[in-house]
Amino acid sequence: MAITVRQGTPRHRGIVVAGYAVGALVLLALPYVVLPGQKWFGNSTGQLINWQRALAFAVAILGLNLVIGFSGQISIGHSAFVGLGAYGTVLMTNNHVAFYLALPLMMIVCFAVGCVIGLPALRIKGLYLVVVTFALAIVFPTLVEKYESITGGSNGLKGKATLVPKAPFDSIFDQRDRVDPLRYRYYVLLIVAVIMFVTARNMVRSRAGRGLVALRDNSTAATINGVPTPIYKVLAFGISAAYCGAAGWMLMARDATPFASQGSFAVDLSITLIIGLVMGGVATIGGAIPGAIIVVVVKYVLEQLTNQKVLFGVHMDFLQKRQGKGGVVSIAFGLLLLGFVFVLPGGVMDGLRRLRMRFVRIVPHPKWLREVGSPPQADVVPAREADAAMANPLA
Amino acid sequence: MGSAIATVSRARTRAGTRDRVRERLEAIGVRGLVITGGLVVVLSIIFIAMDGPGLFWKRFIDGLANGFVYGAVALALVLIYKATGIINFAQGSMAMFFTFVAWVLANEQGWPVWFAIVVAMAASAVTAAAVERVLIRPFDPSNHLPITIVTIALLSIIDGLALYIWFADQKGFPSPFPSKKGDVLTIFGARVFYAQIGIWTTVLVTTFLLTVLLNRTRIGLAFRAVSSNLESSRLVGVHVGRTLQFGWALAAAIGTLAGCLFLSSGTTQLQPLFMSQILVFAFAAATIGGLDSLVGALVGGILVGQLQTMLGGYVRFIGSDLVLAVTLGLIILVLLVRPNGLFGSKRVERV
Repeated sequence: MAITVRQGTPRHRGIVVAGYAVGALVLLALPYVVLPGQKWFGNSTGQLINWQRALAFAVAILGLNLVIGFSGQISIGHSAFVGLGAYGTVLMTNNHVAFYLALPLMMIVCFAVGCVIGLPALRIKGLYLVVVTFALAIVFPTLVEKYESITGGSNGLKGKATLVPKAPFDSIFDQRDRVDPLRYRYYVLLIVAVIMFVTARNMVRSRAGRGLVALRDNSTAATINGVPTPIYKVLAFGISAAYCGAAGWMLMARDATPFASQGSFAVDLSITLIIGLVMGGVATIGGAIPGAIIVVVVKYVLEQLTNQKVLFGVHMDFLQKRQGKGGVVSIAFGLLLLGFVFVLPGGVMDGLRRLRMRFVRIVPHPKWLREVGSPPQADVVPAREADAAMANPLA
Repeated sequence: MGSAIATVSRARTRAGTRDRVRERLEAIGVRGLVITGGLVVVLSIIFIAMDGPGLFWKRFIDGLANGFVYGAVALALVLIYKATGIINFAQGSMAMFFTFVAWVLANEQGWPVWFAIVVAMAASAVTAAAVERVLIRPFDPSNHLPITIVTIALLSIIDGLALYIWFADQKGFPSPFPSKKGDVLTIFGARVFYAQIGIWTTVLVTTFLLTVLLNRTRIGLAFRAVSSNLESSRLVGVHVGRTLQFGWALAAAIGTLAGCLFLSSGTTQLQPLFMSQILVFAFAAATIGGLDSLVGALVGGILVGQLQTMLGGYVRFIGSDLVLAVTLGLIILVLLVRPNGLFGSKRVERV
């Protein structure tokens, strides 16, 4: 039986705080938990590398969500911004720019590029933007190849070993340990990611964020009501590009030997990000985290499984020795995406919310209802679930 | 009342006639044609002045074959866009997959190439119809985001499947046109392969048949009705789902044909990613053409094909690497000036 909680009461606050605490605890404990089943999830190092990658992907997905979820424009070009961030980071650190300085610099660069790319979106409506961003995703690798002297072309670009400076706390993160430096880097990434998420949450709930959602739901009506359409649209695109640039920085920070190669920033990265976005939840902030984890883990597990000789007593020759076994990951991603769109269009976040509703129903505070002009007998009205999340365009 | 009187009086005056003529011309898209024509003429004069007319003519012929293929894929995209308002990201992948099917039938089963292509087209049409019924129709057609995401999922699945079945190595596609060494025609000093002529004719014939199908048959009428107003056509009894299914099947068949044609010029080999560049150029062609005009798609395709060869050939620093980037940049510029493309119809939005 579900209990009903009013918004704004101490009980409600307690539940919210508890929810955040559980999330924080999981994220903090991840590097020290080793999942059993090495065959599936890899050893402790492999798992840590995956969690780091998931953090970077989460920031990228969050950035993409600002465009797809909150501003309602489809972009499949954000892989280029992640690539720009990664290449820029390696280039800067190779030229003696301090590593932590590279993050804001890269974000500024990506923001500027994003604004320039987003400019056509003002005149070129809706699906035309798809064309522009698709072109961006296809063009980025060719540009990298063209300017080989700077970017290393198809050989990729190598950075200096371990970009993240050494851990200051030798007693907690032992430098000579096999796993500890990885853990330290995970926490560095986690701090960056938390800053990104908090900023995004505040932006979305600001005047500008609500204006953006209004633009998504009905651009004409929003414009008439005084939402400055051009500024918001360009800013949304630029900020999301900056987020993806930060994700590129994180991808490079993660590595012991940073290596940017143009093949890893092609259209499939964009598609992977979109898949993670839908699985996590369109137009949610927190959804980026489960989305990124699903994408990274599913890819890793599938790659592990397709390399096994025997699985559940079945000989896997047809997969293990197959030349095109890389296709299995794409097939699985596509099927997963279809499954989510059909079964759980709101993504994991919506699933969690529905699960929570079985036990705890959160209803608006009657006083608040009265303030926005509802009838004063709100107490008698059957308790309606307060939907804090902004309407999901997919669900 | 006022407007009715105005219409009557306008028809009688000279100014009224002029207005009506102008409206008519705008409906055909004359302004787009004039702008395009102007650009083409200016660029052509510059290029001819650079290297002489002989080389220009050769490059023109080279660009034409690619352009027609881009136009054909753009036709497929536009068909879906006109009817549903979505861009089918899986269009290229479906075409790639069934080009592989045609290759298997022709190369491994030894069927005649033309027959193999037609069978592959039919298979792709049936598959697309099934996909539409199972994956697309459950969604509200006016909500574009889920449908677009379904097509992205399809893209991922089909690409993966092709990679799994046929691997990433390149395969030669048997040309359905005579393509021996001597099969070349010389027109004003430019070498034109029979395969190129074959591609032009096939695309033109396909476009003609498509126009006839859309303008002279019952299902074509239904299709045009749905693409002009979905709700109203449902109200007058058009089976919207089935009509859209027909559009999907048609688009898939055209895409497959375009894939096979592109490979039959012999410049590109068959492999799972061969459609992705074509798809970008086809997107560009469809966009330039205005996304809802069939003629625009074909003209846009030819324009993009020409831009690609001309820029790559004439502007030295672009070379072969930057062609994609520069072409797409130019297209974005065109769109900035004319957001609805060259032939697209203007839309009035209401709240």
